[in-house]
Amino acid sequence: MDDLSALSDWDLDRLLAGRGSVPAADPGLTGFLDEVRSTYTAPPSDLTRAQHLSAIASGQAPAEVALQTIESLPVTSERTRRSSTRSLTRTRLALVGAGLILALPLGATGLAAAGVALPEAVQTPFEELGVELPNQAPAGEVRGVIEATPPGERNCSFGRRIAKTASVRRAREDTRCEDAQNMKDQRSSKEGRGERHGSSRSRARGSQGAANPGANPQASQSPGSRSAAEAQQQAAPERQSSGEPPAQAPREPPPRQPQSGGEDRRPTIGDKPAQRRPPVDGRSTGETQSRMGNSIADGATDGRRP
Amino acid sequence: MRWGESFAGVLAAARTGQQWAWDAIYRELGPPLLGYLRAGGAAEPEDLLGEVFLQVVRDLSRFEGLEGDFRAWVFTVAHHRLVDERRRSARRPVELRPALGEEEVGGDVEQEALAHVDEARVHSLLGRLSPDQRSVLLLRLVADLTVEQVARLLETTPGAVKALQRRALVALRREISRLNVTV
Repeated sequence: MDDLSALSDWDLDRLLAGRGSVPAADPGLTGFLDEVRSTYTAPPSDLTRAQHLSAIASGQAPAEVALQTIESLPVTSERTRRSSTRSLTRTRLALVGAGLILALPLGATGLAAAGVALPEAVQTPFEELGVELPNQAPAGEVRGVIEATPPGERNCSFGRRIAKTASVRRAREDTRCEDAQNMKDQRSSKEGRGERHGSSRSRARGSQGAANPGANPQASQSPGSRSAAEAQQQAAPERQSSGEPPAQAPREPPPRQPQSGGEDRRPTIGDKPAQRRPPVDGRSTGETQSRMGNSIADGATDGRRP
Repeated sequence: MRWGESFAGVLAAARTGQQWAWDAIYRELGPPLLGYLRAGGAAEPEDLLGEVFLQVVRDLSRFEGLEGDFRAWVFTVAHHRLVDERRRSARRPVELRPALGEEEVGGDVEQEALAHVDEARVHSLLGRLSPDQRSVLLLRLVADLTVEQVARLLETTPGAVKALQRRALVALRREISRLNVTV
């Protein structure tokens, strides 16, 4: 094949080790092997040697140091991104916390505005802050009423005071109703005096009307019914002003006037029960209305609903 | 071989972190290691040499043997590092060169060999060898390892190493003679 086939392994070892001369070897090949040996056994530069020795001393290779330096750039950006993510997360957490903190008083205020009776544990922080919840009885006032009343005196009035204190709206309405009641009582007392005076007049007129029944339609009414109607008319605006419904606010439809005067009409299937009710004591419809008017007027003067 | 009787002291001092011991080891093994890595085609031979010594520092406590064994062990570390870098560089597109004896050598190779007389010429001629041939030749020439040590390093038999080194020398001689005729 070539000249090297004549070389033994021992010759090849000497040739590769560069020890001694191999007569059968080609001088060109021997020279090339010496050139390879000298080329690739050149020492590293002093700088490289110093770096490597310092790295050996510190137990860290310079390449790894350079690699860490290079990798530190994206790591730094990663850290920056992590820190920004952390700050963003903190901001979100702070917003959620603030939202929860605000949601509690806002929710309590909304429930209070809706008329829900909040427990004392919810009202107490608002009272400590000086905030009065709408439609809520201050717990301190209720407690004050309870503590101010000895156990032996806790009767019905005590319960009313508690209820009045507990419900601001109800207390206001009660106050308004009491004011209206007082005004009504005062007016009714005044009108009662006027009614007594007017009834004597009506009696005198009634005696006159009885003598001439067709002259005045009101004369057909019973004595005192006219003044009762007047009182009824006067009491209506008072009730309206006091917030009560008018005295004659019909919960039932008013009795229908008979189509033929005084003639008893037999009830039919389609008639309402009030219409089917026969006249009281068989009297005429005019007399019945007069008596009803008297009772309504009496109720109006008493301040009661009929 | 270089240290002789003093090798045990150098090794013990190196294990305790004595700087003079590492200076002696680096002075003795640094140049052939750097040459082996450079001839093996390392992209950054100096950096790779630093990594080799770092691993030697880390694994020195596990080494047991004589001076020749220590030399072979250090080159084994370097060879593994070189193989790892070749695998990494294999993922990148590189210019592959056929080994001598396996492919025909073109005229461009002759011009390149004439242009680079020194290291470039040597490197070019070694580049025409197969990787196994080049490794055996470099380990025998530069690392000064025996056939048995090279066989252990390459995890092959001594007979295979002998065959590889013989084919490598034949290919080099043929190429050198061709260059001489051309010149």
